[in-house]
Amino acid sequence: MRSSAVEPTLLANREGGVLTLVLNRPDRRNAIDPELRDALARALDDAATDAAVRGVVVTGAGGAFCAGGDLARFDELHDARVYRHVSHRLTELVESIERLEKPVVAAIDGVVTGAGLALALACDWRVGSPSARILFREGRVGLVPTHGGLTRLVKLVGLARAKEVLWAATTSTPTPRAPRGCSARSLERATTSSRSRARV
Amino acid sequence: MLRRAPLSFAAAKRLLQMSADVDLRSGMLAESLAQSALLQSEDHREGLAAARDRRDPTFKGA
Repeated sequence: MRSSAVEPTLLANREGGVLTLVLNRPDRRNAIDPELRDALARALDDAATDAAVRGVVVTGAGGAFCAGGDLARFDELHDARVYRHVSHRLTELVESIERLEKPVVAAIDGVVTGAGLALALACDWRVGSPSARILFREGRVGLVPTHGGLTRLVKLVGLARAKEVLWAATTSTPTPRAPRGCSARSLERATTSSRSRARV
Repeated sequence: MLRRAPLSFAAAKRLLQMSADVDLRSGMLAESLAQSALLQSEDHREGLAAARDRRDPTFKGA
């Protein structure tokens, strides 16, 4: 086991009606390993039934939101059936955000990619700090976004915008030179119906 | 665009086109099926190796 007894991989803190869940594996850019996945699933489950929780903010520790699945573990997943079985649990976690009948905000600071991006896309709102960067880096390792990373993107921003975001840039820094639709701010605008007051 | 891994580009394009028409559940199943095939490609292994070695990958569409 990792040093989970010392530092939990998920920090939960409720202030008033707002439960803040902090993905806390900063040395791995908060990549979701099975332990963090299970902790987040439990926390969201508890949030659904806890009347004191009126809304949830998901964010990351140490200047990153979430680097998705743990690349170090990809070597274990070459068996197609094992991959589909393992990845299904992560897909379920992402879906549980949409089932939660309370507002869920993704507060994005730094990098969000892979399964972390699927997680953010499943939230009701996304708010980004100036350093928020959306990366679709699956293509760099010959893969595609999963856990709804593609499907949700298309449903949220439409086909043309989704292609732009996915292919026009590999990094999506919110600079004037970034193609339209490719900055975190732009995706935030495109996928958010109204401004949230959540702060990163 | 042409420097991208051909198989994952192909899969991504078909998935994107499909996503506009199908429900989320079907879309995610298609993503998962595509990924499980791509995970076994040589280009995926090359991409991982290149990332570890901090060099540009050379993809060959296999």
